[in-house]
Amino acid sequence: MNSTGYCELHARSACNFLRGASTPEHLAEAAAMLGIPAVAVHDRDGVYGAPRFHARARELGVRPIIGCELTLEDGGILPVIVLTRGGYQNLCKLITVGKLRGTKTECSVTWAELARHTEGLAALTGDEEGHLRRLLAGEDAGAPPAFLRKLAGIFGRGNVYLEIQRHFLRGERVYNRRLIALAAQTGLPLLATNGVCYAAPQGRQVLDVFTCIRHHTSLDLAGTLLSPNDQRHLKDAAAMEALFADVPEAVSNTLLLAARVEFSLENLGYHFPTYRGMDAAAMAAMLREQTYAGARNRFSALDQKVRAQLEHELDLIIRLGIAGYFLIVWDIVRYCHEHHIMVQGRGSAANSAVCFSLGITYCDPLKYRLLFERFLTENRKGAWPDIDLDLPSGDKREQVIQEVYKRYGRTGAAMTANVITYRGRSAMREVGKALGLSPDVMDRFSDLYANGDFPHTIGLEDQLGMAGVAATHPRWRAVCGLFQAIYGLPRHLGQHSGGMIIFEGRLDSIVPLENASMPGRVVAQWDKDDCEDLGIIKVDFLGLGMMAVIQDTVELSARRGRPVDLAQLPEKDPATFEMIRAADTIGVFQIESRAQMATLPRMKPESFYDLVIEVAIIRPGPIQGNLTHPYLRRRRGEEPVTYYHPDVMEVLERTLGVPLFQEQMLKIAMVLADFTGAEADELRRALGFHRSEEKMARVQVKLRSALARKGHKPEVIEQVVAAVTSFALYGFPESHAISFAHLAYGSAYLKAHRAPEFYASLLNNQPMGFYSGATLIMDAKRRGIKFHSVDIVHSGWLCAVNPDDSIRLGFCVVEGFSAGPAGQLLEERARTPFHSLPDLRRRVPLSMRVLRTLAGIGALESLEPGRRQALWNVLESHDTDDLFQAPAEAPAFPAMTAGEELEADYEGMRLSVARHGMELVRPELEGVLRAADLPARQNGEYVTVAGAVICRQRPGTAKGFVFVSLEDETGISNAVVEPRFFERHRRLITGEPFLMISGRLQNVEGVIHIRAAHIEPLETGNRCSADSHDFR
Amino acid sequence: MYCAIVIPGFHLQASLRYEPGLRERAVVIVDEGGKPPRIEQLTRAARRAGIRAGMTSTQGLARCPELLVRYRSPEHERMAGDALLQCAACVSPGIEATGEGVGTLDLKGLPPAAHRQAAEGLIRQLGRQEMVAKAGIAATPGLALLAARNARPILHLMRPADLHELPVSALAPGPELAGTLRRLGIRRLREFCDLPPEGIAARFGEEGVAQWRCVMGKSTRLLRLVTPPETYEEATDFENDIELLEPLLFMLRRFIERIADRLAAAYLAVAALELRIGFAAGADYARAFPVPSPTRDVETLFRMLFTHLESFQSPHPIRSLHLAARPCKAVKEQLGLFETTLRDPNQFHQTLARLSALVGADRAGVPVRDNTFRPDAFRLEPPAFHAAAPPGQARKGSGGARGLALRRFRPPRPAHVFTAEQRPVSLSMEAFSAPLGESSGPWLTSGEWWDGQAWERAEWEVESADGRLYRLSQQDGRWYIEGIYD
Repeated sequence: MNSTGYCELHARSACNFLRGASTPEHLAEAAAMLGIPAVAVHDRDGVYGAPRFHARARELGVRPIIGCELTLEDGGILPVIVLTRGGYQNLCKLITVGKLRGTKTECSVTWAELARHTEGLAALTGDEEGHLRRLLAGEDAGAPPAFLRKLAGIFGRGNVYLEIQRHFLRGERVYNRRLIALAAQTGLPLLATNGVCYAAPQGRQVLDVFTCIRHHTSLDLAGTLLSPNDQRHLKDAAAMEALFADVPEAVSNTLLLAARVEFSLENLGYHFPTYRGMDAAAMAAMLREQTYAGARNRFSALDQKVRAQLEHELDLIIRLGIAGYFLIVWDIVRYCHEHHIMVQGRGSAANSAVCFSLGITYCDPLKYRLLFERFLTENRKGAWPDIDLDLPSGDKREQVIQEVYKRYGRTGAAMTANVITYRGRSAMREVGKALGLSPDVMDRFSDLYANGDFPHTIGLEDQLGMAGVAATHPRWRAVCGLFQAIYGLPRHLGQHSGGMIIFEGRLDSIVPLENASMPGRVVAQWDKDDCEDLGIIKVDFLGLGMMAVIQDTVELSARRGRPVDLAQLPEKDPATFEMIRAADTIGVFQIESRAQMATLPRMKPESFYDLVIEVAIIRPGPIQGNLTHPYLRRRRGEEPVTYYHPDVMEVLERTLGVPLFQEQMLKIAMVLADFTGAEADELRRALGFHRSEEKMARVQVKLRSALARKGHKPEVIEQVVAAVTSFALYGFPESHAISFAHLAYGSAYLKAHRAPEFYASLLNNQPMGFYSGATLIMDAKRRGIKFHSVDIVHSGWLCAVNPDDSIRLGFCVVEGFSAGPAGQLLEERARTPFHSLPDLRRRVPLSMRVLRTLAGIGALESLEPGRRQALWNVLESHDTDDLFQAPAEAPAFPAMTAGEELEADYEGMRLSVARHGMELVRPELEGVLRAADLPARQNGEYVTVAGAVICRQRPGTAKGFVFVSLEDETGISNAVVEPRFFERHRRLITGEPFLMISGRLQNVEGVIHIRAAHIEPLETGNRCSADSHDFR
Repeated sequence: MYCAIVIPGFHLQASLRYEPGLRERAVVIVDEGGKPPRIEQLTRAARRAGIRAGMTSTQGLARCPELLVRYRSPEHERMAGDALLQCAACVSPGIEATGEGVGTLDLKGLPPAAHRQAAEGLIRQLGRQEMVAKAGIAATPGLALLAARNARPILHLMRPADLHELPVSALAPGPELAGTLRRLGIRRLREFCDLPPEGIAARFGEEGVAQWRCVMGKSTRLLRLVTPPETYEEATDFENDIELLEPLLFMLRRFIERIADRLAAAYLAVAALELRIGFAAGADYARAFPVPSPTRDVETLFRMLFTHLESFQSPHPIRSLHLAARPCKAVKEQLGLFETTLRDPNQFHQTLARLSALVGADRAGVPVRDNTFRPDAFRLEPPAFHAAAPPGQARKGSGGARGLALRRFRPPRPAHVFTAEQRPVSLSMEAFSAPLGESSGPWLTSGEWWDGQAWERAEWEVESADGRLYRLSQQDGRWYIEGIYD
């Protein structure tokens, strides 16, 4: 390091939530531009942004130093700098102790805890929020030196620095004079910092907005809470030397302190987790033993081919030192099996014969010729494979997660974080609040996003105009500027949906841990990308609603005496495939979306592998790579099957010469360009690496030159590079598709053969999937299943199947009726059945709201005939318990009309088993076709349909086209809306619950769409519609 | 007998009083306090476009892209309510502010034959105030209100039973009661009346019983009498900023007409007018106009304002307008033109008020520092004479050594400053020029960057060759001497 210069040792990034205005990457870039050799980035009670800063700073040649602003028990803020690995571990432990003590947002470290964990740390005295500033402002002249003595006693004299800052503010001179005098008095070194809050001066505006957010105020009212000027940006050595010309040692000390820093995240001290404290040899032996024990059951024959593959994988796993990781996952899977929790490994783990043998995955990689290198290669360059486990969503998944905490301790396992960033709506909400915009304006702005940020096609200026902020608005410029500046900055820390990192009892020495807002959960301060970049291995416990549905269906079927063994499903069940080919797939995993349903009649799946392709083909990769249609045409024999090269025939044979899977892409690179497995995987990672276009370009060059070296023709090279590039980013791994296809086939089979149990389970696991409970009920009714509404005498908590295969809705569908009171009711009913409404009310203390809802939906009719009569009776206040009081006779109320019942059902359950709302308005709709009428209509005919909007989609691959699904009493009709038409009617399409759409009918190959030419809202009075699945 | 007067769609009407041209267009009023903000009231044209109360403004705009969205204005509502009471007070001294846009009059003393005529007169007068009203006359305040809500525009209710075919919504029940009645299928007041009274009490509580007794004509109550506001006000915020005098005068004349109409009904005249103009840039202009000879003649009053505004110039467009009239008993004699109105010499308030009238309301008062880093930023607030500081309480920061005293130049004097290496080295102004020695600074401040008021300032302390210490400032590229240190 140079003897002259300056290192910024107190900088805050936007990961110091609401206290810094630039991303860690931006800070690193600015530092590199200014020639600052080292920067310490401090987060408040955390190291949230450290990996991001580390990665970018390393790329740019800036030395990243880890700092942290610790909140102490007295509220003072103490900035510390990590010098050694031990210091880093101490810091992680300190933060963890402080964080786990409080709520999600609080942290407080006691002085005693600090004193036990200072080795390897240096302390700065801080700025405005530091102890010293407060003491110097006080009247006790002896307090500041006493505090410094205390600090020096804790950290050691050589590790305490008097932080001095100059921001051209009147008044700071007095403070700094005292600081310099204190330095002379105590002999502690001065350290110049700029207390950086943003990379460049313009960041001050964002910081001011963040200040408003933190203090719940607006820019107009914030006054002196805001920054007095814009001087807290990164400054180069010349600027800092000029500023501190009178105390040059303050600047040179930054170099000395930076030179003392030995630690970097590269030597984090992380090693792969061990299994139950075993040594490497024991773990290797155990893994081998368990693998072979499992392989005997899982493979039809343990032949030479299987043994060779297992040996190849085991050898690599043991050599890489990750046997413990496999055993940990195996142990969790074993726990699931023991506790009857469905579990399935998904993703690239399904490429591994070891995972298959251990029972982690269900896909035989040898049978499907899957590429192990997609899962694991020798040279992973720091990134390790994740094993993703699909679990039933809800309580069972939580049970598994809690078991992991139990086994590894609160400081041994944690969920990975998910950094929530400012997106369109949240950015505008905060900017709007700070600038004092009307809440209605902000709502109108948000409404234009149409229930999702992606994909979005209105420019910011137009959107602001449509929301009521015209370009002439005095704050328009500020709104635009701030919105763009804030967009994408970190907002707060959430938890990842399922990623967990495990490090037996010592995770808090690797990364600080904190409480999640969800009880019983502990979260690490890094997200999954950070963990991956730092080589930390994780397990994903992903909750799949469909897993829960399948498990529930299987259990329910068994209880009803018609068991089904998922492992023994017939491979080509005719009824199942017939149903799939007819796109009768509402409720079926993966192939229920509008796009999937539009492909099924063209694809006409006949085997399990067709389903694998079906799952993979409606993905951005194949669609953007224009591979979907060629495949379908080849499948129908409309175009010849050709290959890029005869050598890849074997690779592409199963997909008719069209590459659909990531594994195929890797194999093509290996076969045609002689890439090794590791190189091929590097290619995949680089192409999928969203942070670096540079890396992507580099590997493309490498692939191109390797293909050229092998003497391939230019057109072959172009074809291969184009195919690889276009869908490597989004392409689906074959192993993943196989795992999903298992669930798709399983759920389709259950729908075809255990329909009542399947629908009941779907309803019991709402919300999930593509369709609401109301739509699922309509679908089931079309299959002839009868439904009974909620009944106080007959319903349980869950929806249940009656002996006659009809379904009785459970209390779980009742709005506002929670499991606690419902359980109490069921317990009481089990003891003695209720004989009257007063009996029910006397024995179970249900809230008036619940009673009203139950009466409204007709759930009390078994005790009190007539919904209105029941409502009248439950409305009576029940304060007294006079057994001898004769109940007053209820007035005679007229019965509810069909419309009123429907309205009450939707109000109380958001669904109805009686009828569809469209049935009631149908007589008023002249010339409007029903969904069931459309197949009989000619292609090109001008038609009109109407219905409840159950789905609005605008896939990124559809070039701005919007797909709207309308449900009526006979089924679902689909409309296609052109981009310009959508923009003209955006508010109507995105906001109206019922629509009437006219246009030309497209009726081709059994797929029916209406190209919207006219669209208008449909007035349905108070009749209700199901929730719509929008723009996801 | 009682007469209830109701302004239907009060929030919307209160707003559209100032934009009467919009009544035939699709306009909605949105309550910004709602979560999410929802459409509360709407014009007929908006209803015809398919818009309904309860929608969000986005849903409204979806159905009618030309829809005009207005937000509730507490100021407009207060003034419309005041106008209602002031008009009502001309009919009866016993008036009650029953609710938003609802007043009830005690007609005691008025011959029955004149009841309807009084209501008609009141409706006409409110019409001149740009408000459409309905009136109900009945034996109890509650029935009168029910009648008014369902009048076209007047309903003289002879028997409670005459109301029984009305929908229950006429009761304006709270949301919970309304929902329950709807769910029970009770649509007409007759069905509500048929419910057993003991059942109503047990199920709908006090609200239900009160409504039931009211509709049965079984309850009456004393009016909570109010005195109408003594100041007659009109005000509006313009949807689009005004830059020309003509639209301003148009609106002022309308204001004066409305105020004069209300004053005429109360046999009062204007003793003083107070005009307040709000600018887009945020500041206000205020001016008081004592009326030497109290009058309610529209032309005379308008001319007073017109004469002043003719020469009025504003650097900013006008966003709001407020006119208040202080009434007095109409006198027939001409007072002396220069006769003082200061009857009480101890009335410092009055002196201050006159001072404000002379220099402008924004230039008289007690200076209070603005909460900003901008040096010298302050505003003037009315003195709080009743809240004198307790004896012995010293002003914070007044004691103790705080460095040299600065004699400030008000306003700062422009100066020429030459710099070298970004520091001031010489200073000159008018007939004075001096080389500078030591300097400290710059002290940088900036703020209000988010709208057109952004400012940026650098300050220096400099020592001249003769040993004097100055404070300099630099703003917008110009230098100023802020003061000299003692």
